[in-house]
Amino acid sequence: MYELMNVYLENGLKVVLHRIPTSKTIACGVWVKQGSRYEDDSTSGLSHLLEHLIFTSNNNEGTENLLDEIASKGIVYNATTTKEYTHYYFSGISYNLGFCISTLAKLLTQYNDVSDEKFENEKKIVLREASSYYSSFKQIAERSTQALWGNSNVGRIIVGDMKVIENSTRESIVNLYNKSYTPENSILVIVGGFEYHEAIELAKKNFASWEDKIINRNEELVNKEVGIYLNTQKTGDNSIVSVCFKLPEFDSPYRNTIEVISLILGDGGIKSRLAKEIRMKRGLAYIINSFESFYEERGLLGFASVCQPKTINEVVELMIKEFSKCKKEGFTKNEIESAKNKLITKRILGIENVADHLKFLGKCATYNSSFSLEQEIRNIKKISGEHIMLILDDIFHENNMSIAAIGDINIDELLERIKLV
Amino acid sequence: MEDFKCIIDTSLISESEKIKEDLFKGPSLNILILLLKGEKTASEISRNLNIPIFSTRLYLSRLQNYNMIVESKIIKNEKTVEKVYKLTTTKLEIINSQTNSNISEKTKQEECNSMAEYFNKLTSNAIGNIYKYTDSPYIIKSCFISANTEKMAAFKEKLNALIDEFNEMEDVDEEKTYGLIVNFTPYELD
Repeated sequence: MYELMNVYLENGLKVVLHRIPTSKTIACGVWVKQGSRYEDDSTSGLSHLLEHLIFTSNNNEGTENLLDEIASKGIVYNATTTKEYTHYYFSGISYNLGFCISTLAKLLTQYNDVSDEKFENEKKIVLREASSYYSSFKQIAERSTQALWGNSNVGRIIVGDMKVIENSTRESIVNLYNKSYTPENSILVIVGGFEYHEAIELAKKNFASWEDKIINRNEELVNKEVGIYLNTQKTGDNSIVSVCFKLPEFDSPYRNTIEVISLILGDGGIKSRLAKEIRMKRGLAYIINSFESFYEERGLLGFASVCQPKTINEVVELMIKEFSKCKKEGFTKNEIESAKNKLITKRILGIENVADHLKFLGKCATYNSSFSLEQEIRNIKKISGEHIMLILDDIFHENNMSIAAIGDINIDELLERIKLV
Repeated sequence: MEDFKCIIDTSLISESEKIKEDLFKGPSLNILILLLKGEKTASEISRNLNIPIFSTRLYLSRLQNYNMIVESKIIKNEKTVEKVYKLTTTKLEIINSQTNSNISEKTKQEECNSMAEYFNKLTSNAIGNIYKYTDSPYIIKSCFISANTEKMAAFKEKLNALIDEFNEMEDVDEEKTYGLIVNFTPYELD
């Protein structure tokens, strides 16, 4: 049985615990509801910069010593900024739980300003990361969110606006920390081999003194209608395009069905429907895959391909034809069963590794969604061809669709060729 | 690994300069004509012209960049925002005047070509649809004369007065749109 415990500390910090009695390892992390979704034109990219600075902040014991100690114990640590939250996490042998939790508390509950030198240095690192991101095809998934919702809310790109980062000040980062790093806006998640009472005591001991503050933030609205992302700069031999659709939120009962659709149409390999039509039959592209992102209030399903600028229109036309076809005819029994099995395997593998499991639980907790492996597998097993047809009809229509493209492409010709029926 | 030059531009639509020549490709002109009837959202335009919303947004963005349309208001709902667009002016003729004399010859020629493209579309649209309205008043005529410049200047004034008179007759409650497309210029074959 999948066992999950939610506890609230007096300061408002939510603690989510999942005990795996057989596990000899633990993973723990703090999820702070601060990401690009909560930024605006003047703060774009600062959530990510703050994530970097948390690890260089001059807290009482000196972060460098702290990080040396973590490494010496063989503990793996990392942090990630997403659109809706920033998370900091550790994983290691179970007996290190106390040390991991106290280190998380030291890093997150007492951010002290950094020196000018450290600040400027970290800015340079973050700018290099952003520059590398904005020069790569990887950005197409986030450009798709921009196409669907505009440059606001979840449409904002995580690494943000390089000019804003360049002009940011230490004060702006301290302000952002004070505004968003509060117990009520954060969740502590612990997974693995531990005892509940011990973990709760550790959470209380290390996080109870975190000051409860009121947070006021204005959240940007998203565009009601889908738009388009287009950058026609020359990108050499390759260009990238994504055809994307709006989806319901993470907690939607249709999430698993949508993942099945995504797997059948664009699973990374060569057996997906799109890979067969575009890569195997015609040799028009090397990379064709699908991606889905679910957020607290909305989601997206995208299909991306890296191909030559001159073939991009044909590739998109073939994608659209395939969407129209599956909307009309659905999928075969074999395709559905195979995708369901892949999804079940993915879910089970996801909880085998405590660190991966922690990340999934953290995301669920941030969205106030409760996860249970048994429920998840039961729901996947129930997915039927008829159900898929209903969802396809709901998603695959022109007013729910958008395009993101980077490269020297003839967009007018492309738009004339698109007809999703 | 870098795949291409870093994109620093934060705008959602970034197209090459070539677009000026292509402005009236696609349904841009139909959008302008539709907006003559009043301000509209992208989804209303999309429904009226039967084109997908994402395409509509691209054409609206181009027209906006070219100062032909502006956002007249923003409708805010609980979690979404929707823009309403209107023509910069309801007198479409204004977009066909060259007002800046400080621009280069090349730019002037580009603007003239753009106007020609625009007029080409306008006249094609008007003449191409006239068979539907044979019971309505219309004139399609072209005349070429050799004439004195002073007399032509005086005629231009009369023509302007006639255009003003035409504009003053506007009745927004009427369904039908009439177009007066005027091209009075020195004529030269290429």
